[in-house]
Amino acid sequence: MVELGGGYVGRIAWVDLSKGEVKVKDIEPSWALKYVGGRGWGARIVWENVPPDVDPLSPANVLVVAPGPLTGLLVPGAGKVSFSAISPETGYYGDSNAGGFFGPELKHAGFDALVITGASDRPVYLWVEDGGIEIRDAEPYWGKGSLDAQEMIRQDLGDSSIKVASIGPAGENLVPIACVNCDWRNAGRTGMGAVMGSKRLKAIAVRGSLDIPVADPEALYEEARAAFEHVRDHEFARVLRKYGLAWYIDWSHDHACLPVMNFRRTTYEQKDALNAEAMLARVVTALTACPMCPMCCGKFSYVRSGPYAGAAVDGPEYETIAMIGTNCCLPSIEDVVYANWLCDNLGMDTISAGNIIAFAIECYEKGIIGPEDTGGLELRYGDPGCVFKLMEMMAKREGIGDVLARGVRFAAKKLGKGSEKFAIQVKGLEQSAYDVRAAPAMALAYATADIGAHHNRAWAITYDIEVGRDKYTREKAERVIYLQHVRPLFDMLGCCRLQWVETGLSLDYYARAFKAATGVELSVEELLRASERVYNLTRAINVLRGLTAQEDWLPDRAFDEPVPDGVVKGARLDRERFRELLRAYYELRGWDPETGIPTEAKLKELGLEDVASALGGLAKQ
Amino acid sequence: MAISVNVKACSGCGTCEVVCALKHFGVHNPRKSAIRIMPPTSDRPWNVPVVCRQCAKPKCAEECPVNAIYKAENGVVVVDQESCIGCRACAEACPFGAIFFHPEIPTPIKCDLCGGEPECVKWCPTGALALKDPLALGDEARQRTARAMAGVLR
Repeated sequence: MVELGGGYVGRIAWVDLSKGEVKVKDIEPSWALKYVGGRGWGARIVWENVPPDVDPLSPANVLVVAPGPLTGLLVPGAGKVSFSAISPETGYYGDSNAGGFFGPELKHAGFDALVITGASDRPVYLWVEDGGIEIRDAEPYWGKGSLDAQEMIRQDLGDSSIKVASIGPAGENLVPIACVNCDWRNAGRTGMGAVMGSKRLKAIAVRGSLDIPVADPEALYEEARAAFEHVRDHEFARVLRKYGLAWYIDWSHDHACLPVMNFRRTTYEQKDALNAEAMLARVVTALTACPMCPMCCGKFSYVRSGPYAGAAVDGPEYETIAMIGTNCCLPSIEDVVYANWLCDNLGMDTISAGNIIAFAIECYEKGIIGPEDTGGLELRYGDPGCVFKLMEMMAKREGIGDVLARGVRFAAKKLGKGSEKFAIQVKGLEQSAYDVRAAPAMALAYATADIGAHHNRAWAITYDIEVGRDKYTREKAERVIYLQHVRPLFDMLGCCRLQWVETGLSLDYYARAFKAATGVELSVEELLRASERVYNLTRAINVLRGLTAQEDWLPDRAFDEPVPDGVVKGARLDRERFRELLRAYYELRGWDPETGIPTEAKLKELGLEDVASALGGLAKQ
Repeated sequence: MAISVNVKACSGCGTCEVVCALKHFGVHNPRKSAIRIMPPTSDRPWNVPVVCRQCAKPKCAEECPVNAIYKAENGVVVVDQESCIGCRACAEACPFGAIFFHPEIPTPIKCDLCGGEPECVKWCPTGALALKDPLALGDEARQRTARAMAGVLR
């Protein structure tokens, strides 16, 4: 019998909002280690508790809020918390994570995870403090902006140090692209805010004063010393400390993978008004960072003058600047800061919102929709007014906003007239900010990501750039699989991956930190095996919910419309070669090369016997 | 000596809080630390670390009903753990809010400069925290002034 010496605090709270009951259960060590934590626990709990026919917005969906075993400890960037559920946007497994201090606070309050089931019949929020959870009335906060509600709750509870995860009007209105705001950081993707909204859960407010146990604090401290020095002094960490992730705007522009005009162009004449230099010169007031991170890639922005004076956000990050800024051709960084604040307060994912608005503008340009559909609102690239207006219409589901709020997959089906060819999504999730027409590995990463077209599973575009942007080699499929195991591992451990991505902090360090924290030795291979287990588990959830290989695919634009500009001008993906690459990917994964369903042998090898038997005849030998 | 704070440089990573509690109590718990960061708000867009300034005329000592707080010869404002009764008057008296209480700890949690080598300063990744000698306070500003004045003359 394994014993856990720390890292985990040892308890999961099950909150049934239908019955108004809270049950606290001790964690079972071998179960805890098998799925590690964070997204791993989320996937397993969703697998065990949500049957394949459950509607994502029904009370039978569960929302798992889980930091990981390293969250809150002296480990660089140890602040991640995952939100997992069946996604109302894709209909498949969804998760999204947030940095910041909400995750650590939850552990200091005595919980490794909250599992929220059922639905309340009136607005409520959870007050979580030192081992106790109360379901409280949220009537005064319902209808309020997400950031506004957080401030109100802190004020009403009389302590500015309380951490709050909340939803805005978008989540309340069950908008499938609604996010969860964790103070200034957001779990943006896959509509976890709508799941909260469907449960009438406005917020989770947490204050924790308990220690997080650590098996060997001296060893953790010594490991951290070297890791901190490595990250703090790394040359590229210095760049990100100065410029933030907005630095990647220039990078993407130079490599012609920046989304512009709904992923038609890859370069933008006015990008210097939106890049990191513009941010530093015009809006940045302070550095921000996740817990214990010496890289400090965050930047706090404040609009000093003009119509949006006073708008303040932690950000904008690369994705927001690209998806809302360059993709909708906004003229100034102030516009992006305001759009970022607006999305945050409405409680809406900036990536999906930017993608959808750029899509809507293209529909308008092409006459697929007109002023009669938009309530007279003229849609055009470069006009911040229509961007902000559409955001509000989506969050409130007014007019065309009600169609758009359900995502580009739904909108294209509804609007028709060929618009599905340029609805840039996979599995219903809007693609994040990398053009893949000259990046087959990145295209494969988007096509096969379990939650849909998001980059956090495998950011393979740097590999495309390194080995050749027109290559469809088997190594690319191998690389994507490797990344799909390494990167989500961080979401399981509960810390940020960027120290590994950007400064090459070694995976061995994390294995040593895991041992120091928990007292349990798991090698890097074993940790990656756990991550592969979770990837197969989420695949199985999706297969049982009807996913087929046809959905591991990209919109037509990626194959049919050559890049019109930049260093890869003329490039587009080749359908046949991409199909071969996908087949190689399935084979390398131990999935059926035709259907993409995990084989029985693979599932058993990963210790997922119950999953293999649940798939029954679907999983071949 | 006291810890001097450069608000503009602080990233709010909170490492100072964690290492302070580790050093003094051996546990991972930022609510047992003697330094706290106030994260940015929309009307105050900076991270602001709050820590004892080792005042020359400490209000906490003035308000202490049992005279448990005193200024030691090395300049550190010290709480005598034996005579302290844990009444929390010091925490309410401090104009900076730099004295903290925790339910598990009877006496105030307050910066003691770690015997001269503060753990928070050692770990701060951005140089927002520094240990400064009162005689050297303002030296950077004076050097800037001097450069500017010399520039005017040139």
